[in-house]
This record gives sequence, C-alpha cells and structure tokens, in this order.
Amino acid sequence: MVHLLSDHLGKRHQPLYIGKWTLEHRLLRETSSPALPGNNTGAPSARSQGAMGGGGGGNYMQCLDLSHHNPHKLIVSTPASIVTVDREFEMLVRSKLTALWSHRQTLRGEGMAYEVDDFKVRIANILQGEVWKGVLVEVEYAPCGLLSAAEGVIRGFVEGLGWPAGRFTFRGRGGGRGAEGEEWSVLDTGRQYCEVLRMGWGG
Amino acid sequence: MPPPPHLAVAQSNYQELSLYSHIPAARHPQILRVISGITGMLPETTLEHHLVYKPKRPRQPGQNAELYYLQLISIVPDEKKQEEEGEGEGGRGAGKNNKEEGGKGYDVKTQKWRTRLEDIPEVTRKPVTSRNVLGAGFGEGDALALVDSLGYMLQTAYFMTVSTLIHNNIIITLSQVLLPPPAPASADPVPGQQYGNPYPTSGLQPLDPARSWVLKAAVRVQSHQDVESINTGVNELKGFKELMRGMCDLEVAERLALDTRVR
Repeated sequence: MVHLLSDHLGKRHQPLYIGKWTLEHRLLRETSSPALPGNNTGAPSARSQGAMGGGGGGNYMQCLDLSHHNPHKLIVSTPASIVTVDREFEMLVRSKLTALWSHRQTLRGEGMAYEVDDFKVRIANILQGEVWKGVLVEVEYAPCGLLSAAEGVIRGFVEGLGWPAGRFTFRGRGGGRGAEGEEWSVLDTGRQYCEVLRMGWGG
Repeated sequence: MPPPPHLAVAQSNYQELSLYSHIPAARHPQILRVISGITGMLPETTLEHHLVYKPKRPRQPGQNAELYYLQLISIVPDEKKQEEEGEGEGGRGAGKNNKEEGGKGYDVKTQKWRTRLEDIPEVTRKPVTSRNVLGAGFGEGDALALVDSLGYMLQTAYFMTVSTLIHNNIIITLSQVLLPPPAPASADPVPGQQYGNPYPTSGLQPLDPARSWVLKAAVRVQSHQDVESINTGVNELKGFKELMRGMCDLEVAERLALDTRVR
C-alpha cells in the first residue's frame, strides 16, 4: 500500500525522496475507578464491557514519538490536554503511575518521506506487533502558518493525487482542542496523529 | 536564562545520594560564606514555584502498585526583569497580561514547568540518603491541564528560595520554603489563586517562623546499580561532611520523613 501511494505520488509529481521516518504511539488507559456509592443503578456492567472492548468513553493517554519532530520530546495527549514533554516522562508514568495508568496498545509506523514543492508527504505502514493496521499519510504545507488558510490548500493537494479515498483529519479531536489559537503549533499536528492512532479507543 | 544546575535538563532520571542539615537563621550568612570559600564560587540564587499534586482517587483495595505525590516545579522570573519585559514588549504575551491584570505579572500557565517524582529513600545501610528521582520538562502546551487530566489534584503550592553551589560532583543547596501572604478573606477569588502568586517577592514569608534553612548536599548517579559511582558519590559526601564538621552536622534524613507515597 505504501508503494502504491508513493507510485501514484511519483507519477503525478516528481517528488524528492528525503528519507525514512518512523513513529511510535502508545496508548494507556486509566485503571478502572472503584465503584462509587450510588453508581450501581442503570446498567454499569454493560458499560464497563463496552470500555473493555476498546470503544466507549473513559480516560486515555497517548504518548507519541515522531522522528521528524523535536527529537527530544514526546507528544502526550489526553481528552482534555496535549503537551510536549521530555521522553523521560514515559519512564515516570511506567514506573510510578502504574496504579493509575495501564498500557494497552503500541503502534509503530515506518515509511518514507518526500518533498513536492512546498509540500512534504510522509507515508507509513502502521503495525501493531506484526499486524498491519493501515497506512498513515501526513501532508505538511510549510509556507502557511495559519490553520484556516492551510486546510483548503492541503485538502486540494491530497484530492489531486488521485489516491484511494481515506479519512482526512485536519483538526484532531481531543487534547483540549485549539487552546493555542489559529497559528500552527506542533500540538496541532500531534492532535491529528493522536486522533488517527487512537483507532476507536476512548470513543 | 539557563536552568540552574539542580534543575538541569540533561539529568531527568537519576539516583540521588544526599545528606542534610538544619541551619538556624542566624547561622545562614556564615554557612553560605564558608561554602562559597570551599567551592570558590558565589551562590546562584533562584526562586522556585512548587506545586504538589495528589491522585484524585484513593488506592484501590488489593492493589499492589503505590500512589505517589507528584510535583511540578518552575523558576519564577526575576520580578524586575518581568516588569521591564512587560513594558518593552508593549502588547504581546505576558506583557499584555501584565497591564490587563494591573501589573501582577506572574502567569502560572506560561511558566516552564518540570515534573518531578521523588521515590521514598531506599532501605540501606549506606551513610547517606539514597533515592530515585524521576523527572521531565514540559515544552509546549498546558502542563497544569495535563497533570489535572492524568488524575491529579493540587494539594499544596509553595515557593522556595534556593542558593546553589557546586563542589566537584556535589550539588549543595541552601533552601527555604516561602508562602505568599494569605489573600484577604473578603476578596473575590482570582483565577489561579490556588497556585499562589510570588509577586511582589518582598511579600513572601518563610513557612518556618524561625526562618531556618535546609542545607542539602547531593550527588547524582545514573543508576543505583552503578556500584562504583555510588561508592564515589558516598565518599565525596563523606568528605564534604568532614569538611563542614564544626560548622554544621550533615546527616542522613529520616527515611519516612521523605516518604512520597500517598497514605
């Protein structure tokens, strides 16, 4: 699939190959809260079943490591907030926050990056262990710093590639959205990745 | 402004070996002079903002994993510099807030926070306190909102004035916990008031009415398994303790007094 997409890209434009890239994404869930008094009405068992199955609500944390962004920092996102933080943060979570957070899923991405004029296109296979989960494409348009102005440009470029239809995410949900304003920040990119890589966890 | 050595970015996770001494207010200037002489340097003094967080949920029955208090720490910008920048920038960022909020000038949200989790000291027969310290510096985004969404709530906030000196591998700090004056009971709560506002810094008062200080001598080692470095660190601390004999007694801290587990 990655080769199909890069072939399309190559035939339409004459892209410059700029190297390999990788991502790593780990999803953690808050360990189940103890039953609260007065919470036993309704259908709690059906709900918790749903959460176990991967969908449903509940609090989650995503740790995202992108090789092409600040190499010393991770992007960490929850439904309410998103930050960049030193890599050591994950060590802290894994060793001292285990009573609150448990690891659920690791996804790895490996692929190729191309430059087409002012666009950078990154294509990667997403794997969970040995299982192929899909292809992720990031299109970056550098000349424009304002989100509202860039969306149309990027969408037009993607549609012009003649690729099979995919899910287009421009403003990711979650991560306390848009608190930084209209100017692009790495957190906007982080939000997009996190929405795509959540794969249904946390709703 | 580079972070002071005891908050250096490069060392986020480490084993800390340390000795402590209680310094009465009256002895503080003399001790500082002596250590300045030993180290051949002037102390670098910073004001830190500490936020102590506690998990919102109690530990579940039957759960083995411990819950820990978590700290966020940042350096409070120098008050005068902050004012100048506020005026100079004229309309941007913190400067704008300065004027809108009547010159308060401290914005807890734009501070550069680091998280720090100090483990309970090891049970050990070493002549020093030995504990694991885990930390990470935040970059972009709202660190306070993140910590809240991880299931932690603010337990207490305080400031700490810290003078740092370096002697070979030993990081020597003299510190004092400070609190802002209590807000007048009649006043409307200001947003972010629970975090405390250090300005004006002249209004900060020591938590200890006797205004005493804590002297800490610490060596950082990458891992508690690195026996050779641990031994070197222990020996350096023993040497420094000898050097300070007669001035102050550097001791191992009572282990349970440094317990960071939630009970």
